[in-house]
Amino acid sequence: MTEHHDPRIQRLFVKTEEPLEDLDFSVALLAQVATLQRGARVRRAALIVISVVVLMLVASPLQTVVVGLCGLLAHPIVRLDQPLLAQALLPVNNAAFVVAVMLLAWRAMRARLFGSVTQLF
Amino acid sequence: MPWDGPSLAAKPEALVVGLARGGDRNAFAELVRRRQSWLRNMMRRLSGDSALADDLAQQVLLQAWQRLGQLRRPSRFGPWLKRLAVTVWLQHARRTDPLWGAEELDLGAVSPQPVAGAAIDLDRALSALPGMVRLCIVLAYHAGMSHAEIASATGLPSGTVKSHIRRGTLRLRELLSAYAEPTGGEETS
Repeated sequence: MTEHHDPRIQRLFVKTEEPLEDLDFSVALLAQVATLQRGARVRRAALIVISVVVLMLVASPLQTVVVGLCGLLAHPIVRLDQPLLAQALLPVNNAAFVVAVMLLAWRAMRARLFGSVTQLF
Repeated sequence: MPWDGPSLAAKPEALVVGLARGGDRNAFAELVRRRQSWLRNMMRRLSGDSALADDLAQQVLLQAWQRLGQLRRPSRFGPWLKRLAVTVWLQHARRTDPLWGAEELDLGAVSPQPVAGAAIDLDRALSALPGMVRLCIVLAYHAGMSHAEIASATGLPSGTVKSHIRRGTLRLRELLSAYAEPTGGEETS
């Protein structure tokens, strides 16, 4: 119960609240809800169609980019003449490994930098 | 999937809200059936206009339909709907009158009003209150919201809400003195 509630005023509010017939109100409201639902379905369908068309258009160039990128990342950093040594060092002697190490170092540095800044506050 | 089992009328509201969140129009219709009278009455008390009140109530329920997905706990549908109603009312009031809410309540002498019936007299008395005071009074007495809930819904400081309710109550007592009962308790704490 909140403060400053006058029981007489409260009783008046309760006594004068009239139960309102809901039929017309609900019918009009639900008609609007149906319109909203239809609109949402149309927008969803349009989004799917557009997404499919865009994906079809970019699929080929995207595939070319991905294949090229994979080739670049797999390229050896240091050219080794001895095939056995080259095979053994293949997992680490490539651009992808260097990028992964740099990302991990960046993450560790960020955690150290912003972790210490957060502790200050 | 729409609910095609037994009637929803006897089901707990949290269940009905959960179904409505999934896009079940029958479940939403049940929520409308349960809440529309209270909501429309609250808007009537705020606006003093039954057609406008119904229009605003429809806006509230449409927004409720669109935003049901944002309601994390279905059991909190009631308080959530109240906050939505307050937001819609405030948006309407400020759109129609940029100075709405800036009026002061003058606790000066009040001339007695002829008794016309409890409902009419209460509406008349409420319309005599400044906008924000009337809103706080209606939220406290009609919607049963606490000071903290009213403060949160309206953006007013808690102290201001208490002051509005106290002064609004005093003014309503004066305006509705014809309905004063000879015996009975005073304010609750």
